[in-house]
Amino acid sequence: MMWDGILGGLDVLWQWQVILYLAGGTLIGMLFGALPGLGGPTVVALLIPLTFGMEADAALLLLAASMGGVAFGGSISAILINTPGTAPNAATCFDGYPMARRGEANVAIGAAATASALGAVFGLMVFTLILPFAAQFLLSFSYSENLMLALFGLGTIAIVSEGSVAKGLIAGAFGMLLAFVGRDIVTGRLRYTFDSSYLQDGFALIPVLIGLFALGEVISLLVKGGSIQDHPSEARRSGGMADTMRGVGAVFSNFFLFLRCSMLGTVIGAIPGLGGTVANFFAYLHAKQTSHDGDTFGQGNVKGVIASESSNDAKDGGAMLPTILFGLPGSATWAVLLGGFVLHGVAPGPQLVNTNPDLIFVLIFGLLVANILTSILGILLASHLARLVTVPVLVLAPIIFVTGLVGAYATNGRAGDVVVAGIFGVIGYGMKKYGFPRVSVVIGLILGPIAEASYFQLTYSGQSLWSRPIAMSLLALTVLMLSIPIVKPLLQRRSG
Amino acid sequence: MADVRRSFGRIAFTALLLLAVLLVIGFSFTLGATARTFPLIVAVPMCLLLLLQLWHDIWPHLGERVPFLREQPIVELDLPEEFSDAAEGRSPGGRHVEGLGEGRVILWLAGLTAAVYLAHYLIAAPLFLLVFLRLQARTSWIATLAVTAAVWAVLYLLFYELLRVDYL
Repeated sequence: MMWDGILGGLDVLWQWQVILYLAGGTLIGMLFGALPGLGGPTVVALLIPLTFGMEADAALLLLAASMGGVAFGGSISAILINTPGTAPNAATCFDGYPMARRGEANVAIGAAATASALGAVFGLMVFTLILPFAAQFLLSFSYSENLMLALFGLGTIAIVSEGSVAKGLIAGAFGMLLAFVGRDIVTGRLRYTFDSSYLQDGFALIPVLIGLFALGEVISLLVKGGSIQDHPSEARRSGGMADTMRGVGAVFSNFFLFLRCSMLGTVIGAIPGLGGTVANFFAYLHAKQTSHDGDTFGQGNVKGVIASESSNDAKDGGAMLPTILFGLPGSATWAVLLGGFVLHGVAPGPQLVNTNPDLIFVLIFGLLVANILTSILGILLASHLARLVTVPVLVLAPIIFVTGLVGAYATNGRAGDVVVAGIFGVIGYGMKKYGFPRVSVVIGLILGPIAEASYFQLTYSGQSLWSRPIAMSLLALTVLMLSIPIVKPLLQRRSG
Repeated sequence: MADVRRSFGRIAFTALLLLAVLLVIGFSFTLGATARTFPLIVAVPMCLLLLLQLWHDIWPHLGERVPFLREQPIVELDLPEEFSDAAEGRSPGGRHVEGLGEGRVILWLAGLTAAVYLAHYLIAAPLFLLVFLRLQARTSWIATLAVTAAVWAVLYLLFYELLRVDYL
């Protein structure tokens, strides 16, 4: 299965359109990565409508390439102008910018590019090695496991994402309720449509995603204001290719640090909902604590850049595990990407792994090539990308509003989708402002119908939950996860 | 004042969610048993959680006693103070630019949504960009026209020519 998948994935890569998609997606990803406030979820949400009409493999390649571009794009502005393009690049500022100020920008960029590319390779290798074992494990999944998996996914994300557990659960349930609008999957009757012909087909996923992640983010940017760099001259780089190669060499001379941070990134990425920011800071703090020159961190130590960049790119390999195997996104970007899967009729989970491994390898190769391409392009185009940060939010915001709404319309050609995207833009902003995790809504929206179908299949088939060890283990894990907020303070109190 | 407005917004947001769920629960009883079972399994606990959340929003000191309502991350990063800005996604460098009011931003979005809904996007989009860039962003005429023309060209080539998206 594995070799067939690898060969199938490679076969797709040799088409000229695919190479164009890869290059285009990578460049767009880098661009959005370099722009503060507009991270992976925004670029993927805006690109999904453009993939409408493409073959599933080409579409996933384009989206994967944009995701691959985002992480390193964000490090360029972090190093050159002390402004992280995305939150998972925040720790890169601490040492990248001081290095740039003392004329070592190219060393930092070389180190970031190499750590990013190799970090991504590491994460994807871990995923590829785990895949065959996971495929075997997934063969035993049935209705009970699917139902318990949906519960486990919602529970996990409620626990680990921003805000309180109650808000996480509310957001997940809200997503599920949205999924119930339209035709009932068991009886085929209409429900919760309130006599609206638009709602008969339910809420289309893409306009909801565009609203929650792209428009919601832009509203938040406009309301919050933000930082603008007045001095694009800061983006000037000194040193030449020799300096860049010195940065590349620094990764190899700190190879064990790189490996440890990549491993941290992969593991944290595999926990649904945690995402790159946590991986980034964990790895940075780990590097600071374990290095003999830890006291020079924050003053331009290249190890800080290596730790930060290797972990935030390695996390994608880890995030692929729950996303591809179980349909539980590892981060907000992967949650939006799941929307792309759904648009192209690809259902992540046991079926995808065992019947369509080609697509998984297309995604792996897409991320791999995009990460390597990003690093090469990043070194060449860094100064130009950093100047983008000087573009005011007030100019960028209307452009994203327009592309978001037209994109929402383009997916199905329904004018109602534009209104849905607009409404969910406001809801997404409210959720962000008041601490309701938006990832949970997407999980609920995607897992809701699966959970409902599994519930009825379980009921009608007479299958007993008690006789299914995996389902019972998932149930136990869910209960355990949800009890953490109760148990943790008790343990803390006892330990004083 | 900002705190009062924020807590009012928080309460209003939770109350709106609660209202939506109550609507779903109410409407569920007009459906058959099979169609309403699973939505009710989800909606009833959600309703209880929203009531708890609302209680917490109104009386935060009381809600703090309930572990589920506490805004305490499970994964805590023990960051030095100088890193906390960046950890929250704020830029450590640069000049801060004041944001627009919430109402104004939502009105702009509503205006654009209505325009794209009612007119062809190839007309609505450039019109919105022209007005927004001139009146809100206060960019020069040259920059406004250049940005509008560039975005229009991309929309035309990508959506109209390549993806064949037309107004129905």
